[in-house]
Amino acid sequence: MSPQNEEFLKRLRATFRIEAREHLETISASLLGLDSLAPQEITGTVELIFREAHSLKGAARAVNENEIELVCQYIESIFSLLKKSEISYSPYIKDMLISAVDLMTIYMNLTEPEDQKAHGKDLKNLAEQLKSFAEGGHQVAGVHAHKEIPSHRPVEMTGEKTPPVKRELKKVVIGSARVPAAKTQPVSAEKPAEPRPAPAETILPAEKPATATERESVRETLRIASEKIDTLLLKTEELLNIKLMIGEYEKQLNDSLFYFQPWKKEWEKIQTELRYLKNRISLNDGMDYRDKKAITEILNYIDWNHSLVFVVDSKLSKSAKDLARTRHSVSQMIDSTLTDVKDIMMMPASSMLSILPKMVYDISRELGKVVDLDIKGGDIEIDRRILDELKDPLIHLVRNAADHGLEKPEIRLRRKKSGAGKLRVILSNIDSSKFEILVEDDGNGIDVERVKEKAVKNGLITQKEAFEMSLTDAYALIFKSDISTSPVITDLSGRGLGMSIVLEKVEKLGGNIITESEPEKFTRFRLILPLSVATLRGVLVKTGEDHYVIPSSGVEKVLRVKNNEIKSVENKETVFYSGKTIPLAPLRGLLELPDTHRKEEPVHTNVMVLFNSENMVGVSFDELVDEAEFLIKPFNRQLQRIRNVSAATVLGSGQIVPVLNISDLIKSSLEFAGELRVRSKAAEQPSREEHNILVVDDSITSRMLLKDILESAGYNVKVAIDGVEALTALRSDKYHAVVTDIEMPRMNGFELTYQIRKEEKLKNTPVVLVTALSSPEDRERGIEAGADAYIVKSSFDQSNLLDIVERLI
Amino acid sequence: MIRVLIADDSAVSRDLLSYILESDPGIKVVGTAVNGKEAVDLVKELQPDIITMDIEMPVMDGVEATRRIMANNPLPIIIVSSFWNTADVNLSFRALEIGAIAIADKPKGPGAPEFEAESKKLIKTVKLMSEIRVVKRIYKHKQESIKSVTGAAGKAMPPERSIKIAGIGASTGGPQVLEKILRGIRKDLSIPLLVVQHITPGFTQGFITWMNQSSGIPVKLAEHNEKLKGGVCYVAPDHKHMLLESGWRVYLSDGPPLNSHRPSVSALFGSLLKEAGAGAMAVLLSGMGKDGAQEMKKLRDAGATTVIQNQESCIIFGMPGEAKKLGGAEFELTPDRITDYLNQLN
Repeated sequence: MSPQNEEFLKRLRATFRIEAREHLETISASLLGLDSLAPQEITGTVELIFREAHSLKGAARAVNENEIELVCQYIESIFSLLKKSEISYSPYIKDMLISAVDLMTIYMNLTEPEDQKAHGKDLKNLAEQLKSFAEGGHQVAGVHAHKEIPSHRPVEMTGEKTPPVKRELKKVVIGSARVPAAKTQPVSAEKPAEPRPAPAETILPAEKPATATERESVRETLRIASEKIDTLLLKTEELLNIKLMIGEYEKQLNDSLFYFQPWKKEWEKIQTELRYLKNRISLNDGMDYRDKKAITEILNYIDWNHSLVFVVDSKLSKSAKDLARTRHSVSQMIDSTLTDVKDIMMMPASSMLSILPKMVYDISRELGKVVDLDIKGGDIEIDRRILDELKDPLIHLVRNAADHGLEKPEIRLRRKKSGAGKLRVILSNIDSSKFEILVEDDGNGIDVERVKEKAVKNGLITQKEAFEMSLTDAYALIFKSDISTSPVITDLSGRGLGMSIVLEKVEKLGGNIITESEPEKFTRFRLILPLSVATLRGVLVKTGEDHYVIPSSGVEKVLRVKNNEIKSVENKETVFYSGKTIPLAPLRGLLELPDTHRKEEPVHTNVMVLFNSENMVGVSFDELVDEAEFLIKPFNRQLQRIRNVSAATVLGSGQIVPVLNISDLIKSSLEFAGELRVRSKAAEQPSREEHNILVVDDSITSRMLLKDILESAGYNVKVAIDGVEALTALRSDKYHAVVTDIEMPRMNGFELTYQIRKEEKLKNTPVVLVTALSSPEDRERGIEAGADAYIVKSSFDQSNLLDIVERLI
Repeated sequence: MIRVLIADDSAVSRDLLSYILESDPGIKVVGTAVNGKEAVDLVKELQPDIITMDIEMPVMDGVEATRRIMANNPLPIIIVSSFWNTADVNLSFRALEIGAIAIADKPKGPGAPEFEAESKKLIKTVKLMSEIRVVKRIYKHKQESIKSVTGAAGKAMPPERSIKIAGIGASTGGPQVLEKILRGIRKDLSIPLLVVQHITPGFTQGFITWMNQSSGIPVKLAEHNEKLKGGVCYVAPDHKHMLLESGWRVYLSDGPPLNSHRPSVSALFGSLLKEAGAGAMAVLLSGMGKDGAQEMKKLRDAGATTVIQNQESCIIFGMPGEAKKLGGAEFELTPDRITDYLNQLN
């Protein structure tokens, strides 16, 4: 063969493997589901299988896979007979065909030529078998039932990752020698009265295989390292930050623009005086030349200044509008890009569920159980990374159900249940951000006593605790390592590790598990999970000055509770919710933060009710800021395990906010021995951190400016518009400092200071004069009046003021 | 440059066909379609010179796609199919009815010993077929008839000729016409028909099955030494010359190919000349090449009745055209008229 042809053949083989896998999967799924279809649907599925085998054959031919071509040829023949109703579908045929599919799957995953050759022989034998069946062997099916078709270990339809399977071919009789696979055997149904034809059967009303016309052809596929997609998604999610930042800047710009409002007002107010002056100047009335010159220049300056500020205002306004527009379009672009990229991450759940029918089929055969598997919800789209993580837990739960949950048919019948055990795997959307996986079997139920016994034996709990333990808590024990009530450790289960790993994975994804069971009736696990990773719906709360995000998936409800509804029980606070009493703890306390003192004692308390599979608690906080989707940044290795905190997110303001861990919070709440908080008394002495400052100025602009500066430094600021108001305020509340203007109506700054110094209670209050008057005489007057500091507005800068205030307090 | 559109739902097939066709510098694959619907759309968009069409495709199969394309954007369509599956073969011939012009076998991949030969054959077929000019076929129902030609068509056959046997030779475009002819043939036809149809090996049985669906008389594969019966149509098998032998028997010969064909029309006509002489009727239908043309002339000279399919209705006026050129054709008839003549033979 020429080198190009060889190259091409290699590429063609790779394409073939992808295409063949699709065909084999469709055939397998259809075969497994064939039993349980209504008669009118069977034709369609038979047709589908027929066509799939045909297509596979064609493709095999092109890559010279002669054995596969042959096998497909005879599968086609058999199906052709089925189509013409010359034979009817029986468990024997089903087993034979499933084995054929399995063999072909194994064969295709092999890479070593020796393995291939060896398996090739098996395929050839299989082809012969199929051939003789198709060409008349079905007439004497009784004889053939005894023939052994080389079999194998149950095969998972995984891709290239499957390591070459060793040639341990167990010779297993397919369909069992007891099968009288006569022509008239109908599609197997439940017939408990009949001697069961095959001890191991799976009746699968599974998801219907694709209807006859809906199979999609293999398109061009691209193989991309999944890390590349993950990186792409992360980078795209970073773009969200840009969106938030632009929003923040827009807000800041608008805030700044707001200052122009009072400016405009003041300008209006000053017009009268301006006009008066201008008039005076224009009159030639013997005003002093020097005065006239000065005034004229100042008036010019005022006009020029006004124009300048006006221009600045217009420009900023325009910028603000542009920014708003930009933000809008950037938001849209980023949102849509993010949606598209996320979409790549979303896959229908069926990709995770598709392995189940085969697995259950194999297990049921191995264990001699009859399983009725019901799978729903495969079309729900879920983040691929979540699907990856869930695969193992799901497999484990299903295996458990089939192995430990469901009883053998004899026992079931004795218990008056149907011979076939019902195993349900149902996915459903809870809301736009969460979904639920339900794994339920109607078998043995959870033997709570055994679980407790095991737990006591392993030293997890004491005998006493076991005795007093609630059902929910007992169920929770299942998820601890080493708890397995299986007397026998099988290949599949019984080691006691699986469930703890299930819980760990689920919690790692930000979800939880709800366990329900009734002995001898059913066992049900409900996994509640977010639909996608990296962004998480959460509640942003504030306690004191700090912000925290709590994942919404763990928040049952947010309540406003009247303080008198909070009861204290044995030094712990509790609150009544939804029919039960749950413990209540303050968020600050749980996070081991120092307590802040509130200025006013609220009558209500905000409480969020958190829940997980084991417990429900209430956590109190100050303010509910928002409920939104947050971009979650997981911590690096160095910060893997921090109590109460699971990740961080960045708010639009650039502030980094911790994302809290629900389970940890709940655990901490239960352990929290809070001080009894007396909520009905009013605040007493303000603690050291809270300082009150009174700002006095008749100009609203100045007042706002000073207030802003002081508040951003952490002070509590109240305002007064003149000296009289100031005194009233000072007499009713405690202030640590007064920052006041001088030029004010009714009572100016000097007078105010003098009055403050006169009053016994107030005389030690620091007073800072902030004024436009800059002459040394004024300064002296200020000091004489008793001010502690004198700041001139023109040389005013905020750090100056803050320094002084801090020094004085 | 021949621009080809490949329609096939199998990625492996698409890749293989592209590779084979593009290995020839004169052919360019301008697009691939994964189902019939895409094929119809892409024909409109890309306006290729020729399509290779798979039969079994989801959403819309090759037959339906052929119908639509021939109704709106007619162009040469080669059905690429596998002869294993009789259903496929049936559908392939159905596509011929609807307007596809040829059937080709799905080639094996590199690594198979036949790869080189099959690739060459496919390329040759594509090149040849791309030259054929096709017309819009708005296929309504089976009774559709192609335009008839006046002139020689009108002539009725002189009654005194006694025809004992008819031999029919055809190549590209043959199956469709043959099916049409046999559709109208009377059940009690008294003479045997011997047919040599150049066809991709492996498709012969499918061809016979397909024809039997509509033919007025039974069609069967000729068996060596079998006695010929009136009212039966015998088709030459793959790789063997079918000859008339004394005693009114079939002789299947492994002799060397004639005119590069085996079965060859020339071989058949040659044996008719020897054994039936003027009692034979020779018919040449649409086909490429010259197989049978010279022998038809010889038959005409010997007094046999010689008929060719009329040019307008021929997909390729090769064999009949050559016969006409040599003066070997007494009558040039539309397929319907050919049927009429045959029916008159009793």
